[in-house]
Amino acid sequence: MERDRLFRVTLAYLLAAAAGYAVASIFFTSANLIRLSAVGAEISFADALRTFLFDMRGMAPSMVWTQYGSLIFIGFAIAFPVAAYLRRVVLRSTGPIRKIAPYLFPIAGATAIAVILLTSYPKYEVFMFAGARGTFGSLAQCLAGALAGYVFHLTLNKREARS
Amino acid sequence: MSRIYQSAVTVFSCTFLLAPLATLGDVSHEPSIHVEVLADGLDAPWGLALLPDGRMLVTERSGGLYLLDAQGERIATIRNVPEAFVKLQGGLLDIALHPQFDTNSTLYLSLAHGHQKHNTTRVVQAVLAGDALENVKVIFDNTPKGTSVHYGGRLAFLPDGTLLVTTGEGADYREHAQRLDSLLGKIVRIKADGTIPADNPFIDTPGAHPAIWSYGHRNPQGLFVDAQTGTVYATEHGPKGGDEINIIEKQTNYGWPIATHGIDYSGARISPFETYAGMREPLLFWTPSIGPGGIAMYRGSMFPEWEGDLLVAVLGHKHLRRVDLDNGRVVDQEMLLDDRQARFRQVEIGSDGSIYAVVESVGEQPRSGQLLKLTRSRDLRSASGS
Repeated sequence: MERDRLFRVTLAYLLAAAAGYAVASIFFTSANLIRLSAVGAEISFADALRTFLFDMRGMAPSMVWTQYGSLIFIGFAIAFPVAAYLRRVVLRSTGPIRKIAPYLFPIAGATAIAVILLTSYPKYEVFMFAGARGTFGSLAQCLAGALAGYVFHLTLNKREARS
Repeated sequence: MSRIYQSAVTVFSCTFLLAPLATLGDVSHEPSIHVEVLADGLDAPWGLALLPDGRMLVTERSGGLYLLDAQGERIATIRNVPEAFVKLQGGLLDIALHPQFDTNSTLYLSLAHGHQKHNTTRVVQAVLAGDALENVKVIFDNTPKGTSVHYGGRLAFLPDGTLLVTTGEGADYREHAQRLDSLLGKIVRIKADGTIPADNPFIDTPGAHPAIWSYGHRNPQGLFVDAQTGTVYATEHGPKGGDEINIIEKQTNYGWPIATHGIDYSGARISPFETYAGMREPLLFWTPSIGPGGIAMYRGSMFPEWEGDLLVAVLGHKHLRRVDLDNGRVVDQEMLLDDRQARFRQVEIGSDGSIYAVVESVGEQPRSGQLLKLTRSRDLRSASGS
């Protein structure tokens, strides 16, 4: 029983992290391509598709922990258990605070991405992940994190989510 | 500053690297080089000017400007040097002498100016009077940025007496390199007094900054004007791959960030394109990156076999690199002094043909910068009959 639960949670985490990374990568590439188009680059659909696929592979999780994909997976691995604990605490309460329970995993996902972007900034005080440049670039990445949290929430069955 | 004379005769094995655009050539006439440490203990030296009387001026990124005699002995710490914004890659950068320095003692300094949220690559003009700068005047500021990296900052005079200045694109502002209303990521051309020459290429282009000479640059930290031909060479740091040597021509777009052979540090593409119509391809590029700093073309009698070759100071891969040119084409490359763990920042050619190399640091040691003088080894010079 316990093994089944662990399997379901792990599966939900992997699915959510993969979805979050994929969306973050697409937002990342889109932001860069939009900026290039704004300074005159003519980018065909084939060029864009090629770039999306290259970036998806280029930033993918690997044994290099500083890779953007690796950081996203690590970030969610920390954020989701914290959110699960908070969710349990919130659901035990009887006040209006219970209403935030459905949002805790998305908030955790967005927070994980925000922390990655903030902690990668200080070394050279530039955006290490260029697709996250600017307010909209960063918000788009955080949105991908929130989406990952939502996927995690959906993937866990109700019983798991409440346990 | 302590002065150390270390004499070492280094016979270079024929270590050649094949670069993407180079083919292996004749390696049978390698000269033997005598390396002398003229000065050490420097704090991230950046620029070097060889004065007509044999003395030298060297800048430190941390803000120091020193006058050295021909043997590297520090004569003076120059006073009244404008304060630089010293952070990360910012600080006091290059130095160039006015073409008539021997009569007007005028020199030019480039430096980072401002603060973290608002800083520029600045050029000042000053007169060297004894051990101080006088008549210090700001003659150029580029478009402000909010990062303390990618300043460019190299200076070189064209044969017509105008001054070229390289500017970086500030990393987070990389698309500015393609914008003609921004001075980030450009090589600009100004007169010696800082005014804009009337024959600059974008002087009549609406919305364009009239100082722009060429654009589409990332972080050009090497610049050399060949007095014999007037050809301008510039090195440029790429991201992960795509370091470049370019031949600089007016009004030319060098591509960054639309066309690049490098990819981003994150593993993502900078752009879908390695080449792009209307954008100039580099003379040579390096993938993986080597981290090119200053550049000079060898013109001199001491190493006649290197006549017309380019010497590139290499920071990342820690060597001095000879790029063998034949009729303007790269035919070979050679790593020199790659056993010193030295981050080479700048290279200059002396009037007698000796080579002066500025080492930013040895390994990662702080205050380990050096000024090296490379001459031909006497033994092998006589043996080779030169």
